[in-house]
Amino acid sequence: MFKILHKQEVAPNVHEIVIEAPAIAKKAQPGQFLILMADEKSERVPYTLSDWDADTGAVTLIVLEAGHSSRKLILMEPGDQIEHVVGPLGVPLEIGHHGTVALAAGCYGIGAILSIARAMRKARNRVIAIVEARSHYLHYYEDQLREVSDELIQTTIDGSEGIKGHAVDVIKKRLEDGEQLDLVVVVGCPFMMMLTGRETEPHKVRTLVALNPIMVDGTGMCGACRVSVSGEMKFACVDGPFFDAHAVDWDELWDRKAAYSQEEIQSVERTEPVVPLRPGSRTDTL
Amino acid sequence: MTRTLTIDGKAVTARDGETVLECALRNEMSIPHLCTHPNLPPFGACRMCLVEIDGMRGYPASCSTPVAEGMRVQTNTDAVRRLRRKTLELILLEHPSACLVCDKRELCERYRPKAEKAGCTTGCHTCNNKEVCEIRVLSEQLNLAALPVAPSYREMPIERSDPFIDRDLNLCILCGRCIRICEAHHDEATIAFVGRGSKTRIGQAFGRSLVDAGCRFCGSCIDVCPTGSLSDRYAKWRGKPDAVVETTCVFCEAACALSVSSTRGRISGAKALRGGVPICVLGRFALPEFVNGVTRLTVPSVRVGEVLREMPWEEALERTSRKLKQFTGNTFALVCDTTSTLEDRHLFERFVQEVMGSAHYIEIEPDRRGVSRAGLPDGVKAALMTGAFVESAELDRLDFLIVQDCYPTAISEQADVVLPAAVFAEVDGTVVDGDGHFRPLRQAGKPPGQARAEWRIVTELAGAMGAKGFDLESATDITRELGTAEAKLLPERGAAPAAAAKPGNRRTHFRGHRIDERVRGVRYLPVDNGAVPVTAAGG
Repeated sequence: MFKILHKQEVAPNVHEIVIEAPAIAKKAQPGQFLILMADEKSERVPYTLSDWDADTGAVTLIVLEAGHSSRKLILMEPGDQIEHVVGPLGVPLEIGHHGTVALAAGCYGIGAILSIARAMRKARNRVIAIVEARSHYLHYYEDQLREVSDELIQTTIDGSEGIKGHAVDVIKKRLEDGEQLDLVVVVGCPFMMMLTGRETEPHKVRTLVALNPIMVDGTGMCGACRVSVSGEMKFACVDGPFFDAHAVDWDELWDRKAAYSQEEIQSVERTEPVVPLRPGSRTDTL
Repeated sequence: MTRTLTIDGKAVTARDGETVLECALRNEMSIPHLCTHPNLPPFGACRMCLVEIDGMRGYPASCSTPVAEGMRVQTNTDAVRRLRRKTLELILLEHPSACLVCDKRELCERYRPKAEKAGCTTGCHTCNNKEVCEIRVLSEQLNLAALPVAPSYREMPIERSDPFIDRDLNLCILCGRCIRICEAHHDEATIAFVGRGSKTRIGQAFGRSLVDAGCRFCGSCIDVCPTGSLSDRYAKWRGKPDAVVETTCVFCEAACALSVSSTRGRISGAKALRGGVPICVLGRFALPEFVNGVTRLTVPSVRVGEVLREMPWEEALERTSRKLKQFTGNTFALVCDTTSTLEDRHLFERFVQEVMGSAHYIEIEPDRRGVSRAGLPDGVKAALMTGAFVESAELDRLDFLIVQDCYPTAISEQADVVLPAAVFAEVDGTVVDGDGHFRPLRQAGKPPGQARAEWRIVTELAGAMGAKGFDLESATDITRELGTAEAKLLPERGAAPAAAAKPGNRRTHFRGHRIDERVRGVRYLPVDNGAVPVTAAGG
C-alpha cells in the first residue's frame, strides 16, 4: 500500500498526485514511469514520473482523468492508500551533453518533462521547454519549469497566452529560422508526438517520443505495449518509452490504442454518483 | 389566416402564429439559431437568429418576431453575419472553445474523429457532445476563426453526485433551454438560473442535489441542451448513434413512444420520441442499462446431472422436447406476463393448446408496480415460465421446469432448462397499452449472445416436438395470423404519465426482475417511502 501525501487539480482535469514510495524515489531516473493500481481490482495503468525526492521518499505524478481507472485515482484523497505502485519502469532517457535540447510537452507531458529538463540542464545542455495547451487556464507548472530550463515557451491553441498554436509550430519556426536543435524530446498525446516528428524529420533533428500504448505488466512479459519502430517489434515498457519519432509506425500505434475503445466506454457507463452523500440528505437514507 | 412575406427575396406564405424563424425553416431557408427549440416557446436570449426587416428598427430576433403581411426579411446581410459572429465569439468566451479555432482541426478530425473520455471537458476533443454539438455547427456556419479576447473558465466543479445526470457547468452557455423545458414539463421546475451577473449558472435552490430538489429525472433537460454541459451518464461517450429506431416503452402500461439509439447493434440510449411531454425515469434512463447488463442470459443451458450445462440451441431444444413429451395434457403449464408481446403470447397459447394439449396457459397482468405473481394449478408437473413469477417453494412439486428469461433468478437456478430470451427493444411485435390500444415494438438492438425472441424459441421448441403449423418466419407473420388492428406509436399524449410527474409512481419490477438490481440509479429515487416491494420469487 502506498499513501497519497498530496493531491491537487493543477489545471482542469489535470491532477498532481504525490505518493509515498521511498524505494522508487531512491532509484528513479528521468523519463521513467510507474504502473499503478488504485485498488485491488483496478486495471494497471502506466503514469510518467514527473518528479521525486529521494530524501523524503515522495514521488509526483500527473494524472489526467480519462476513464475508469484514472477516475478511481483522482477521486482518492490525501491519506488514502493506493493498492500497488510498481517502478521505476522503462529505460531512462539518455541524459548526456547534446547541446541544445528542446522539450516539447502537452497535457500530462508538461509535468513529465520537469525532471528531464532539470537533468538535461545539469548535463550542461541548453534547455528550451515548449509547453502547449488549448487555453491559458490549462497551463500549469510554469514556475517549476522556468526554474529548470533556459527558456520556457508557452503556446495556446486559442492564442490566449504566449504563442498561438502548438509546440510543433514553435519547433518548426525555429528550425526554419536556422536555429540548431540537437535533440527534441516530445511527451504528450500521440497526435502531438506524431506531428512533431513529421516536422523535425526533414531537418534531420534527432527526435525522441515517449510512447504511451496500452500496457499491462510493464516488465516485457505480456506484449500488450508492442510498437513497431524501424519495422522491428519493440515493447514500449522495456525497450521504451522513448523511441525515434521518425521510425515509429504511427498508424499501428493508433490502431492498437483503440483496440479496447468500446470496452473502455463500457467501463465508465455504470459508474455510480461520485460525491459522498451528505448526512441528512434524502439520498443518505437509501 | 395566412400571410405572405418575402425572405431573402423569395415570397413565402406563413402559417398562423408563426415566427419569422419558423417560417424560414419550414421553407428550408436556414437562419442560425441557438436558444430556441421546437418544444419551447420563443425566448430571444442568444441573439444568433438576428435578421433585418424593412421598416423595423435594429436587428430583430427572428425566433421571437411574429410574421406580418408584406414583411420583407433579409437573413444574410453582411451586417447580420458580422453581428452573429461577434455574438458567438462572446458566447464562446465562457465555453471551452480552443478546438473551434484550432489550426490543426482538420488533421485532428482525421486522426481522432471520436471524442476521448475525460472527467472534465476542456475542448471538443474531450467533449461527450462533440458529434452532435450545435455550437460546433454554428461556428462552422459563421466561419469562426478566432476569439476577440482571452476566454475565461468558470472553474466550477463537475457535478456527478446525482443519478443518471452529469453536469459540467463550465460548458454551459446559459441559453436556458433546460430551465424552460423543466418549467414547461413539470408543475414546479427543479432547476433555475441561480446567482447573478457573471456568476449566473444553472442550479437548484439552496444548493440541493437534483434528488433532494425533487427532480423527476425525465431527462428532458439533457435532450434540449445544445452543449455537452448536461449529459446522460450512461450514454455520454457512445457518440452519435449509428441507428435510431422508434419503438414503444414496455416498462409500464403508459406505452410511451421512444426513440432508441444504438451503436454497432448495442442499445446506447433512449428518449421521448417527440419530447412534447416528459417520459419517466425508466423510459429515459433505464432501458440501455437494463438490456445491456453483464449478467444477461446469453446461452441455452440444460441440467445434466446436478449442473446446468451450456449447449447449442439445437441440442438444448432437442433435449427439452424429449423430456417435455412426458408431460402432455394438464400436467403442463406455461406462465407469462403481459410484458411479452401479443405475438409471443399468441404463440405461447397455441403451444400450450396445440402442442401440449393443456388448458393451463397462465397470463399475468402485472400490478401497478410491475409485480407479476401467479400460483401453479394443482396437478401441474412441468412448466415453462418467461420470468420469475411463482414462489420458489412452489417449484418443489415440479418434475420439469423450463425458464425462458433475460436474467438469471432464484427460479432459473432451480430450472432444468434455461433459455436466453430477447426482450423489450430487442424484438419486434405489438403490445397493448393501458387504454387497450395496440402499440408497436420495433427491434432497436441485437439481443446479447445467442438470446432469441420468445416467439421464436417457442416455435422451434414446437418444431422439435414434431408439431405442425409453427413454421413462422417473423413477428409480422404472427401479427398477420392474429389479425389485430395496426399498431400505432403514441408520440404525443395529453399529459405526462404518472411516473413522469413523480418518479415514486414508477414500476419497480419488469417481468419478475427488480429494476433497481439492474439499473442502480433508480435506487436513489424511492417509491412507497423507500420500501421497494419485493416478490419472493424475484428476490
